[in-house]
Amino acid sequence: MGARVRRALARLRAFVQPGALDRDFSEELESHLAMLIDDNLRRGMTREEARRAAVVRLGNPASLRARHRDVAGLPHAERLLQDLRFALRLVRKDPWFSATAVVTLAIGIGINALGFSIVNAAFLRGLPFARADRLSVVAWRPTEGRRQSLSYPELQDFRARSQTFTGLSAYLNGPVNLGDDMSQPERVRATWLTADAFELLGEQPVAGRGFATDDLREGAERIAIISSGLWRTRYGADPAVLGRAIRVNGDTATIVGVMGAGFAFPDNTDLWMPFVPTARQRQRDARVLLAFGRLRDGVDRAAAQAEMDDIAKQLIDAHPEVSRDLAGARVDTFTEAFVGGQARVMFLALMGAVCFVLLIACVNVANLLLARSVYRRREMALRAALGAGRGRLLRQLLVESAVLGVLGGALGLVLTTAGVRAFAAAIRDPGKPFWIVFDVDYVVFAYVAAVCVLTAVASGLAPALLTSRTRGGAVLDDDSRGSTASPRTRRLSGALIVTELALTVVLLVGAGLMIRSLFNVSRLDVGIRTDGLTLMPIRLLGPKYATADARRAFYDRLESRLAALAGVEAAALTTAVPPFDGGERLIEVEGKAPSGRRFVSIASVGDSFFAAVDVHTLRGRSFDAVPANASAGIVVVNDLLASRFFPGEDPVARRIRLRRPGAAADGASEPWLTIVGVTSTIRQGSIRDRTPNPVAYLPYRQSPPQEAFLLARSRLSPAVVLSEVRREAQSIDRDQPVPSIQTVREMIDESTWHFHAFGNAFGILGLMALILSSVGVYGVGAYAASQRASEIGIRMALGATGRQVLWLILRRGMRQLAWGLTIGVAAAFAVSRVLSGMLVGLGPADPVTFVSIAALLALVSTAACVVPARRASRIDPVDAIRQP
Amino acid sequence: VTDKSEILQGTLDLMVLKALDALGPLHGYGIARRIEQISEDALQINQGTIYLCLVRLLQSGWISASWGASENNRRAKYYAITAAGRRQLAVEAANWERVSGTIGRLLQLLPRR
Repeated sequence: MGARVRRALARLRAFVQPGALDRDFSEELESHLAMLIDDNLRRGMTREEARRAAVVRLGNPASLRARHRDVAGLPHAERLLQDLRFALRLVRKDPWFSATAVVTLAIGIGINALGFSIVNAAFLRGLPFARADRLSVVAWRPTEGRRQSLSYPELQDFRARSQTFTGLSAYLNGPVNLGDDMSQPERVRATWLTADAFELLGEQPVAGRGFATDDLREGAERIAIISSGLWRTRYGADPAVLGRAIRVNGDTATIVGVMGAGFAFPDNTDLWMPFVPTARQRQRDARVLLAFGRLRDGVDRAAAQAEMDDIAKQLIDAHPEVSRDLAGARVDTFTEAFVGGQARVMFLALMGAVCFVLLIACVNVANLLLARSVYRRREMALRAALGAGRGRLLRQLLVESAVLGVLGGALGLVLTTAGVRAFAAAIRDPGKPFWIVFDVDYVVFAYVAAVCVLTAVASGLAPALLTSRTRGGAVLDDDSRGSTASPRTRRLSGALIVTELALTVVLLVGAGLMIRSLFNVSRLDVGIRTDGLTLMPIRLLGPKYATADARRAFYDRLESRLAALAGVEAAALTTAVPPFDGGERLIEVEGKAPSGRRFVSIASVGDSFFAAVDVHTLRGRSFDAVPANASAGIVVVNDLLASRFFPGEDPVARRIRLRRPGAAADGASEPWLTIVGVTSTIRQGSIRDRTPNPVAYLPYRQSPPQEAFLLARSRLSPAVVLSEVRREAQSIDRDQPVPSIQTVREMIDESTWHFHAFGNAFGILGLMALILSSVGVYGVGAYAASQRASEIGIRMALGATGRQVLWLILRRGMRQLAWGLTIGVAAAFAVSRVLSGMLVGLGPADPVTFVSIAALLALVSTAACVVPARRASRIDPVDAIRQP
Repeated sequence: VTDKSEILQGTLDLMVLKALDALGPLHGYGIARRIEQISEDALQINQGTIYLCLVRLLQSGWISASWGASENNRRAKYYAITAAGRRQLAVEAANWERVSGTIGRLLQLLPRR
């Protein structure tokens, strides 16, 4: 064993410094030869004889040196190094070829790694805590829907019965109004955590203390821990912040700790407080907690899932009255719990698209290598004649494409880094969990390295297999003038072009669908006048606003104060800013049997809502014409609702009833509402609705919401409006924040942000694919034409017209295009369905997109074929035939 | 050319080690001569191949090498057996004797008629 290791090390040493070893050995052979000659001379030979005999006795020095090197060093590594040197020389010798291949691969790899970086950040990396892969989210699995929170008694049951988790904590999220005696009240994201949560995560405050069991007693003094960000922005990084009194939704609390930078668990939280259940929260059906735990060592997720499901079934059996909608338990990773549904599909579609771009790049480079292989047939034949086996040739060719792959990868990594930076800067989704950070980390680096190798093999293997297929001498005697691509090479090249075109069709169709959706979204007619219209979110939180009367009083006072402000034309409260709605209800018309689609959208609005959005009542009255004390039991509907549920009738003074979907079917508890007016149709629903919804507008006074938006129409700048509204709001309640203002246009743009982002991303990817594949088509066409130059010359000398020659060259390209389009369209039909959840106003098989994409690709590829074909048809036959 | 040396590889290792053990430090030519003499020139090896064997033995740490002056005052590389080499020699020699003994006995078997 020792001898073997020593030998390997000695070989490595010899490999690293081959020169010294060679010199030493040469010297030794020299001295050996001299001694042999001496002996021979002594035996009476002449000097000449002595020398010859000595060389015969010793053996051929060159061959000995070569064998010595094999034994002493690492012959395989040495040959690899030789191949590498040769490959680098080839890169320099053929700069245009190399540049084309490297840039193509750099685009392919760079874009692919960019896609991977995004997926890595969103799905793979997970939470930045110690052994975060052991953290799991535990929730109910309802019969319908994905996930249902736990109640406090249920959390305790799960915790007591579970063997697979070392601990089970829970949290409750929500915004709070943070006030103190220093600065403006502010709305921040708060999280109430059970006591052991920080220990479970393995995180503690960097200043001050965490939660103690004493903090959980009922009636204990309220405490809070703040984030490093809040400490910096609101408290100027003041070390004396510990012990400071703050007001959280009006209740006094003391800051006892500051978390480290970057900690924002679970979801961009700035303020943490211990969860002390209220009397209501101690009830079994008050399901407000999201539980999370750390898996015990050696327990896998499947075992935990099985155990939690068992416990869930026991609990369902024990408490059937509150468990009607529950099927079992769910154990997920944080990534699964937070980045699910639509976002996941979107990101995976993106990943698929970047893989297509990489494939197209590989196909292009494979075709380039294939084209070059024809020029290199003599070289290969010569190598084979000199004794290189097929394996040796194959290795050399693969090393060559590996060199191209690595160069492309290095350049691609630069592209990726720039791209990731641009993406991180462009993303402004406020709902993004704090642990998703878009950057290039070592995982991305390793991925790029792996992709380089894969790319080298994918683009190099087929050409290498074909190129290395040579018999020594077979081509040497061949006249180079006649050397054209073999049928096998031509077939492979054609297949590559067809593949490339088909991939491009799929990618372009995806891009086309996304871009058309984006187009549909941006020309969405909301039905209101948006200029000068701003919105400000208002939340009435905490016990002081627990009653409807308290909230109504606040809103009433705020609205009447704002109505008196100079410069504000109209201001109104609403639960839903168009194009969004404030929920859905099932409608029932008095005197008619319920039938058909009965879903309508609702919004609770203030008196001046229609004035603020500048929509005028068509028939009847609006709310502002109704005395405030008479607002109960009335409703305004849009004309779509009127025409759908009252066809050919006047709906004014008719009565309807609105029931929550899923509520008891009799609906008798819901009051009848009298329709007092009909407005023109405003889009209220979701961005993705193809057509507007029927909408019923209720006066907010009927049930004043906790959360609403204040809509204001004003010619003043938004900043001025905000400060005016703040002043008025805080003169009613000094702790009531008005956190921000946004124009309605900005809000619409922001809510369609991902359509823009993904539309642009897919657009860029599609464009890249189009460019790469047309470069590929052009390159192969130009190359084929140049190869057939002498053939064309002969044809023309024999009387072929330019048109005939043009068609001769073009025919092959057109056939490939037809195949590529056919296969591509079929594949796109199959694949585009995954995008259907992201499309607006069109289906995944949208004929306009398919036809225009096919036409676009046909046009561009034909152009890429025609250019070299025309050049070929203008050849001077004499030149072409004379050409060596 | 290589076939013979490959067949002889293990044997050659043993012979070189034994020669160095018995005669003390020698240069490559000296080793080659010694082996030829002992085998009474029956084993005519291509002298160069001895160096391939020496490299292996050196790498395994069984012999050491240093440059010195020959009896005729020529510069030559001298090889000497190391302690590890002696141990290896003992193992290989025992091995060889067992194998050759077995083969010897085998060859003495009378054919059954």
